Amino acid sequence: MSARGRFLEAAAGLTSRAARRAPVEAARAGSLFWAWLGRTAARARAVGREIATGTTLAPERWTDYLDYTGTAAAVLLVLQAATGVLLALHYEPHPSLAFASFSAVGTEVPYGLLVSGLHAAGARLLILVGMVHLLRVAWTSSYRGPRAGHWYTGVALLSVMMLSGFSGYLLPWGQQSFWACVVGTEAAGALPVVGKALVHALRGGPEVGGPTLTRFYLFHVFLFPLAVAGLLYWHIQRVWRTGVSGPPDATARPDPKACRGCGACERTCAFSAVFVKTGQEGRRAEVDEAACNACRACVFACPAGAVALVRDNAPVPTEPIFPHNVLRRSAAVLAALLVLFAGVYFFRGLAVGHKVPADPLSTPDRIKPDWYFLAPYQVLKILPSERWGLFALLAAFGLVAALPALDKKGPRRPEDRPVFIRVFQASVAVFVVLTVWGWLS
Amino acid sequence: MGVAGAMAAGWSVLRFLFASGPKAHSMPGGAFSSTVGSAETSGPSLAKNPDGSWSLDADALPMGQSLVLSMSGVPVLILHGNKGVRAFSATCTHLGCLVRFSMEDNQFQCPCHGGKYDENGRVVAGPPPMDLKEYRVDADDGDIRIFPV
Repeated sequence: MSARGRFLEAAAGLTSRAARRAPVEAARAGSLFWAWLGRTAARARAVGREIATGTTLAPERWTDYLDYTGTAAAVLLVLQAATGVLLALHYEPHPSLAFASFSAVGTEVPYGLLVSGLHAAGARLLILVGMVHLLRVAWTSSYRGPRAGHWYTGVALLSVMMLSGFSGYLLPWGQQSFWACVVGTEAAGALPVVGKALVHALRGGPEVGGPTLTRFYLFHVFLFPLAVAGLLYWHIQRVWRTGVSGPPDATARPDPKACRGCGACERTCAFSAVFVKTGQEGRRAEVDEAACNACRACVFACPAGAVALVRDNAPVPTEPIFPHNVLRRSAAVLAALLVLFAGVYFFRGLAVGHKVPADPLSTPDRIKPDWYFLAPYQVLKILPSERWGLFALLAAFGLVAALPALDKKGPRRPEDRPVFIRVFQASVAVFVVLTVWGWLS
Repeated sequence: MGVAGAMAAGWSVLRFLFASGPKAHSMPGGAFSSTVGSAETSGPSLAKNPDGSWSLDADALPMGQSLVLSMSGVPVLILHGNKGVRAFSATCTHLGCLVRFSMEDNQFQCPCHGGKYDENGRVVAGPPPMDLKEYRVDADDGDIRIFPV
């Protein structure tokens, strides 16, 4: 028995044989934990080494710079968690206390206005940066093949963050928050079969009230952050594993002299663009350049380092991750923080915008959801029935979420996909028009 | 410089962490319980009768005015118009906002998504899928009685 096992046994003061074994099991579980910690530390060291010595693709087009929105979003998310924890120290989630305690953070707590301003403006900016990140990926169809999982986890992340924003909107318990919650939860009632039960479950009763606040607080400070943390870890891990996708006009090209014909590239290709042929010089990998999506999976899979990305017979330019890429990403984060602080300064109303406490017997004029729900709000307003409106919204969301399943192959260059790009531009235009219309109406 | 900056930042963090909670917690209008309409207000309110109906002092509702009051958590709009005193569900059948009665336009209007109902609670414009429910009202002897069923 190990020293730890003996210690645990002694500490537990157990005598029976079965009970004596329990601490040993616990010690074994402890060993598993230490083993896991060791593996994690080793992985972190490997990541650090890769950052210090590795290379990545150098940005070329303007869209490549938008890659860094992902890093900016991750930093904003961490800031949301930090400011959220600080706000939770002073907020009291009870209908009779919520409005006063929320207002007091802005007026009585030192730096409270700054912290609540950062949290309020940060949430809006985070969704915006997340949406830009999503659009950038869609622009070059970078969600295909090995990056489909990135897209699914990314869309899930953005959705949970929007839901988190919706749940957080109720917490100040002002008139705007209360009635936005009434409308938002009531809309879920249009779902067939489960609608009414879902509304009841969300609200904790037939109407928005104390139980709704408790539930939304739980969603906002526990369930959604937990989901976001898990999804973010998954998302970043996947992105790290595959790297960013190559330029849409590039193609993979194996070096016949270095290729050993092992077939690792063929097995990893999601586009059936790489295959191994047996010729006079033995087995060699070849690429169907029309089918290649420059996803770089074969570049990473080749044990001989024989595959490279090329464009016009020249290698696609790369740069060291450190300092070049790290500095670019840091600049993107700084730019996002600059916009955030400008937002806190110029939109102070976001933090103190809930001037009137919730009144369940009076719906105010011009109740508006947050900016990112203005388009769905306007759809619900203009379509003749709430059920049709809800179906339209769910269909639009489903199309976006399922993009990797709907668009699997073909050219990636925007110039070569005129129909997709027109639909893309029209969708963004419709979203913007609905948002502005929802705001002005 | 760095130490001074760190101390200043640390002091700010400590002040935030150890700030005492807000002094005044009570909301204007009193505390909420778990259901709609239980806010204590100084204005008129409905009183429940043993037979299940609800009463309101008729003086609280002069001709040409309307009130939204809570009937055990259910918002009800009581209207004193050309056709006497009438009571309707105040909840818009679209997405649950509370409607108001416009005496000028002689119709119920929802401030959220533009739903409109005529003086009998029938949908005339906007997205509401159903008419407003009307409650039976007895108005005599200075007392307005509303029957919820």
